[in-house]
Amino acid sequence: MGLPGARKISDLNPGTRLNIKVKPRDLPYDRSGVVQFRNVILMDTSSSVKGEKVITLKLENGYNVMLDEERIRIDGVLDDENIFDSEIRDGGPARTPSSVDSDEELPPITIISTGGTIASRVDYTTGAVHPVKDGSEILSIYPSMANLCRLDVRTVMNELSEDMSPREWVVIARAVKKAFEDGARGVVVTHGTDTMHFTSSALSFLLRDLPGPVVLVGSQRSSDRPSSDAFINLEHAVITASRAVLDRVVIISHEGPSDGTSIIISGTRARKMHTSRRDAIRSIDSPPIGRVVGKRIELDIPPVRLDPARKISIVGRFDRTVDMIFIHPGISQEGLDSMLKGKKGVVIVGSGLGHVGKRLIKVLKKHIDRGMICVISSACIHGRVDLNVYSSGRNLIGAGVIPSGTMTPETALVKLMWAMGTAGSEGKDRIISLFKEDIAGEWGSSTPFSEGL
Amino acid sequence: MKDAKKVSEILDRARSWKDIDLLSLGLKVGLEVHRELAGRKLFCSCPSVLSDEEGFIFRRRMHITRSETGDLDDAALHEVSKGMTITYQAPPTTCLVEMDDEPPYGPSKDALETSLKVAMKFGCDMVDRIQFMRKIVVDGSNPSGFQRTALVGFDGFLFTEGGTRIEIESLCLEEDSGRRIGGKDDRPVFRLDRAGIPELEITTRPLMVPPESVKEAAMNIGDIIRFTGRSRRGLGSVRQDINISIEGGARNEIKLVQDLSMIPVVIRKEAIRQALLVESSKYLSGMNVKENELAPEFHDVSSVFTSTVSKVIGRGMEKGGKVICIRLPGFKGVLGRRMDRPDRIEMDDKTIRPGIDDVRVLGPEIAFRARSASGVKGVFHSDELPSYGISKEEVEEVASRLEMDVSRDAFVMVCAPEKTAYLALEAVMRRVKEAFLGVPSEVRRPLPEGGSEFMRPMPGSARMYPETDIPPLDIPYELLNELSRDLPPTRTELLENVMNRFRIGKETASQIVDLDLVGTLENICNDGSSSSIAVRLLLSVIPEMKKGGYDIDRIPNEILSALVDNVSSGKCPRECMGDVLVRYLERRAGTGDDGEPEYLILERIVNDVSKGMISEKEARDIIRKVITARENLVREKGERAHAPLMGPIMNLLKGKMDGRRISILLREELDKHRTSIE
Repeated sequence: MGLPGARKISDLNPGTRLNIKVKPRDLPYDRSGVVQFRNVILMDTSSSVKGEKVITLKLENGYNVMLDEERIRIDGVLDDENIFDSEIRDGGPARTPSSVDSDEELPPITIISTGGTIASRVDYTTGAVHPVKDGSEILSIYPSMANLCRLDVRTVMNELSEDMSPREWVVIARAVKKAFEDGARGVVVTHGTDTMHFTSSALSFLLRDLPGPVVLVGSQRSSDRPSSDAFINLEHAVITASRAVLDRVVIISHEGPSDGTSIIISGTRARKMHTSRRDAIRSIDSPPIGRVVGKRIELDIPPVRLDPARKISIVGRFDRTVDMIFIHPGISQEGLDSMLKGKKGVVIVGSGLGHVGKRLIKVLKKHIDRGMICVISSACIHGRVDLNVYSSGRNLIGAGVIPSGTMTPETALVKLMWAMGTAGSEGKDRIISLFKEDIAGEWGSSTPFSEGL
Repeated sequence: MKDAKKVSEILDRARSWKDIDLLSLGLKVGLEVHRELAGRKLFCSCPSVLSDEEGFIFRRRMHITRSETGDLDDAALHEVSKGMTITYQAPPTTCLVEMDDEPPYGPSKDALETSLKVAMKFGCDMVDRIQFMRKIVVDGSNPSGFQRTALVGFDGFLFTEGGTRIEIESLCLEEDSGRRIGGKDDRPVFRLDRAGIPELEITTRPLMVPPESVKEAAMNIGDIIRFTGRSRRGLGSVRQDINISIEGGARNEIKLVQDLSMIPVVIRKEAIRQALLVESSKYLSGMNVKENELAPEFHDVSSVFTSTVSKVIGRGMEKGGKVICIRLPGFKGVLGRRMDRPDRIEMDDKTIRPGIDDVRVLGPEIAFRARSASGVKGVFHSDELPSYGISKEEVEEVASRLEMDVSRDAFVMVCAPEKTAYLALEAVMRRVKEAFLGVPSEVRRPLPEGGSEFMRPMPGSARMYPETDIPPLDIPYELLNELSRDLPPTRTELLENVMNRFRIGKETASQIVDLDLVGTLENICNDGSSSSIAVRLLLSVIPEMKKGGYDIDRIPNEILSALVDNVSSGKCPRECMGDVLVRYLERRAGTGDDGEPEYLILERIVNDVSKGMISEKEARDIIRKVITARENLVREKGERAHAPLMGPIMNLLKGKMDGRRISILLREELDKHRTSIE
């Protein structure tokens, strides 16, 4: 420190093992003398407070301490082997190959890795949760998967849930199509949970004539934690993909706070209903179509017949000039007007049965009259939109809006994007007829009673 | 290193295990004091209280993860390999954070400040930023699979009351884990009321002091936390982990010693246990046992016991069990080795209570390993046979079946279904192999009589990585400076303070301190002159009422304080304090809250109680009459007439005036009388 030629600790690479001496910090009492720490690991040199570098060191007892750089004197670098360079840091000494040779009798399953918590690990230097580098790393985290099926892991992107857009939906759809064409019995898509229900809706509209199940799965707790839900979620997703007699897009989620039972939710009926609970993704206005209990699948829908020879296809695309507006008492006419400017389509999340204040109906009508398509859903999330009960609803119908039944606002949005993208230049009537067509159970037949909301 | 021969000499010289000078064995003790803090939990706003309710019940499984530096931890693996399903109870006092279904909130400011104050009291050096870590704990006690903990201060010290300097290695602020309610080992049940309660963990450097000083250190360290006024009381709120080693032995951690008075016994028994293991390994290394002799070879000796009178074996075989046996080469006398020396401690052999009056080593340890691996109860070794109804002939027959050298070898025998027996004996062999190496490093659970049993292998240090949900926290100088104005006292300091402020003796002060009544005393005692009344109230009146079943906690401090004032000013006789409080409680229970101010209620009761009282003037009249009647006595004894006069005066004034007041009045009247005569 200060001596010519003396090395500063921040000049060393993180991962270096060293002995150090530490001077006392500023304290409101007298303290003299230095404290020696042997065999510490330099973890991080990048943070600072008020211009002073703060060094993170791992002590021999496992604790990290963060000390001002000027307090630390290097008392010997132990060896040149950097602990972070060793191969164990990146997912285990022996890298598992991306496809595993296992029993030929087991069903072939493709895992399409897109990122998200389920495919993330802690970055120990920055302290943040980051996606894994490739799908093979998933296998090193979840080695038991190899006993359930013949696995083929394909990484198509590495995006957190919030970074997904319609472009990614299409990329995923193509990867699913390719996987089935390559002979997969079922496909698992690992995905962040935040926008998973948008993606599941999008895949439900795009993918037709599925020869087997497409199972989206994520986790709420990263897999570095002993308590992570990723293990059981992925296991249940793989079980569903390899054994369930289903030809649609579904999501696997914890049934409740306990590990052990998962629900299978239809792709167009799912919604993330909690910021952090394991059972955050629920089936809205429709019971789950099945459960996975331990290793057993229980389906609660009329049986279908799977045809491996069925030729999967992708139908349509997405128009991104659609927006969603959450109606609230503070919205002014001018505000709504400027939000709608230039939009070809909008999903209005109205109050209650789907209502919008009468001052705003005029604004909507103005834009509908210029050709904008306006779909109404409800901020209640649960329950059917009904515009016939109150006059403001009837006025909305008069203005030319389209109620979206029991669709969640998110499903309605994806559906409208899909209908507009797919209709292309065919015009408004075609868009409306595509929107009103029931493609993947999104319109629902009735709203059954369920305990709790 | 002291060689095993020297250990043997020390053991041989001792009259009993209670006699041995542990420091001569090279005893080192590391102490970890844990104390919970009151208030809110460390990472959510739930209260730090235990609950009687089960609440919501859910189940989880734990999975292996890699720790920060990539090593899988032995201790973590040991737990996970058991394949547990864990049941949790979430009482209404808990929330999603304890359930690991919501990320932690920022750490409790109160707990953090308390930890800094305690660290400063020890004169610790401090980190500049606090980083919380995740310490992997996959025994299921925490739904997240880790315990959050942060190193706050390091390198401090304290002097115990006895003057021993104790070096503090570190002070950590951590969250407590769930409370084990029951369930089997692989299906434990935990209640989450305790999960997340903040606790301080203070770790000493290795202490080379007598066990009694370790106990004192534990008490004095715990006291400093207690004297912050922020520590939680009640069952399990204080506990010690004790790391013990001797030269040639190995660090063993005895977990969760709750009773301070047990600390010296725990240390002594562990040190002797290690000494015996060191001695045994030395002995075994001289037996020339070959590696291949230690491959477990199971012998079915059931046919030896077809007509046994041993109830344990008879019953086991009736249930379809077999008697399976292994030979332990060179182990004769080693399994039964124990430290008691009945001949030299002048005791009758029969009075030796196993595990209490003696220290046993490999015998109980192999039995425990067998039991925890397989659940079998009937494990016997040849050093303890014949016994348990197993005859000498049967023992000899087994030995001959095993073709063992009875002057050199031992055997271990299990009566159980075949598969279970194999599991048990394999676990026995694992422990037996360790015996050659000396002392294995283990985490051990204390037993009631001061011994301990195996819990799990000692964890390595690679079981921690950063808690990424909580950003590192700056600890600026200004904060430390502000907190340094309100540091907790040491026990010695507090005692002196209490003695001086309230003018009471050391013994009374100790009682006040030990019962956590310093704060109450401050609240109810307005000046030093009334402290004797307040102390009497706290140490005698209230405990007696508690014994009588009165709910003293319902009496607010302001009432106690007002009562002390009333007694102090003579409005209420000292003897009536209990009576006043009983009436107060009856009134509160009878009418509920009728809106009457507390001080008025008390005033009314005091008036009622002292109705029979007389005024000072009346009292002086009566006293003067008595003095006049005993004129001769007063003339003869002068001011020493006070004592003989008190009796007759008290007979007249009892219950009408406070006794001390009477005494003062008598002295004054005596003085007046004597002056008037002169």
